Amino acid sequence: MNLTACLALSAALFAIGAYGLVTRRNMIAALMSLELMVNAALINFVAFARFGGPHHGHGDPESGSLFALFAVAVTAAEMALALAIVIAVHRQRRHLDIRELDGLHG
Amino acid sequence: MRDLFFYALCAVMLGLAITTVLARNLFRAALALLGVLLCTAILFLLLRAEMVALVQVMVYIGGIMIFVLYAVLLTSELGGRMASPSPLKIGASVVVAAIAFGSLGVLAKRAGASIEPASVSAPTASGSSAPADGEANIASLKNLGARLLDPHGFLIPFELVSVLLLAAMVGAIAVAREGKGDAA
Repeated sequence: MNLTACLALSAALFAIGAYGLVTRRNMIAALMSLELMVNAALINFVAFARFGGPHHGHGDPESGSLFALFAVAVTAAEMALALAIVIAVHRQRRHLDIRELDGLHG
Repeated sequence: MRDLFFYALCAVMLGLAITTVLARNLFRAALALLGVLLCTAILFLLLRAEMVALVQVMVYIGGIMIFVLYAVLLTSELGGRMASPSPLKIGASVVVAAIAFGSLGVLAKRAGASIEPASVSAPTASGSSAPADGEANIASLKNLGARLLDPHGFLIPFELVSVLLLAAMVGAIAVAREGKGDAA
């Protein structure tokens, strides 16, 4: 278990999430893919805090943990708003297909 | 041993992530995502970021994923189609729960055995703390709180996040409630 392995895991998670974000048609499924990508970013924060930067310096464990905590808080706010929008859209349109939601398309 | 566990955890996490992205059934995808988040919390424990692991479990799994599950159940019409589980599945679940209880019991016994002598004779820091890797790279809860509330540290982002959360809460209520005029 070293920095490279953690970064590889995080990159794989991010790639899987990006694939899902592009291919999924349901809004909630796209949001879940987004969660995967945020999760990959969190793993990066914690891994760098644990193992230090590319120059093998000492990591800053508190900063890494705190950055991860702030990211979690921002994600919570984002998900609350996103799911509110999901509920509102479903109430108006009776579906959640992203391809069909082009009301803002000029 | 630790490396083996790490790679097994990675494999489980990636498999669950692929399930999240590919599953037809949204409910199943949400459960797979829950598994990914749980595996990530375990990974944070391996990386000695205990506070982040705790927050991951409480905020992500306890808060956000419950949100997502509610949204899935509210918006997709699979409420009636969920069949009751077969006897085989029930039996397997009982076995899994028993194994979980057994391993947790073993862990609790071991933890109690390792903590008790330390609290009786505190100064001998003999075997309970991790000896292999240096303690310099591990965030203690005390330092974490000090840095969080330090004006030269993270105090301003901390306050900003509180404002952001309040704004998100008000916004979510305003968006999701039954509008007086705009609900077509």
